[in-house]
Amino acid sequence: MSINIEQLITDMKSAISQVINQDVSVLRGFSERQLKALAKQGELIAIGVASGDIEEDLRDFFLDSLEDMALNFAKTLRGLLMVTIEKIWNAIVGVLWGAIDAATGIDLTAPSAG
Amino acid sequence: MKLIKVMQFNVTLIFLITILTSCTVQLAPKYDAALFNGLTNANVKIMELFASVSSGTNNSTFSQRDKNYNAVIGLIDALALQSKARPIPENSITEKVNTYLESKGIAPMTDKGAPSANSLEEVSKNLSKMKEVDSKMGLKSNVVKVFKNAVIISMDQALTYESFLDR
Repeated sequence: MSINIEQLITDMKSAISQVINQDVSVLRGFSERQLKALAKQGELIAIGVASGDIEEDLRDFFLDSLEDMALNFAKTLRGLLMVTIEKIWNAIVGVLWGAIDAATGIDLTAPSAG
Repeated sequence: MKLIKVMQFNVTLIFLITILTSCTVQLAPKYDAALFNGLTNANVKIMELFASVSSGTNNSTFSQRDKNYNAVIGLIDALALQSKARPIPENSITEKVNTYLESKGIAPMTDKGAPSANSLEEVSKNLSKMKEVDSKMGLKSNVVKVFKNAVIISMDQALTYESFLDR
């Protein structure tokens, strides 16, 4: 039995789309929440400084913290993307191994990366 | 002749596919249900703490809140440690990609730990500072709002990442 290339490509596209559709909504929602909250943080600091409730020492702490939070947002987003890449990779591998199994009749199990 | 060519093509294709797809990968840590549950419980306790100080505080009553601060900060520190202690997968694929990225002057794909650990450390830092300000001069409601939003941002990062690992 040979591999139907057209079908294989369709199956891989379908597997990738499924992962991307699921994950994009999470990534988009997270990014929007974070950007709004970071902007709000800037506004709250400005209000506190203007009113005199936030003094110099505390202002510096909040500004440093805001910088760290923005960096952590980027790191988290990168971490989420890594999970998505992993899922896409493994979805493609799953489809390919399934096709090889069907074509060869050999029960192949995809080993983990070393 | 045509049949032989087709067979050769199929054999070559299977060989190439087998090489290219010789492994599944794990690029992120495994989901830790205990850690995620710990985070959701800690989130409730943190929000309770913020609710108790939302209209501002006077440092003369700090001793009533000291225990709550310590409990919440201790909980977050323990969760950050739990997140850090988890093994991070290392494999040849991420190593190759990181080597390439570094050669181009781009930061590698993964740090040594999960990003949630950094976010939890940020939560701990903010709560510790809030405790310090509360004990020294009390908290004004505007200041509480800034601390609360900072903690919400970092908790959202940690919770989103940890729940996303459930794949």
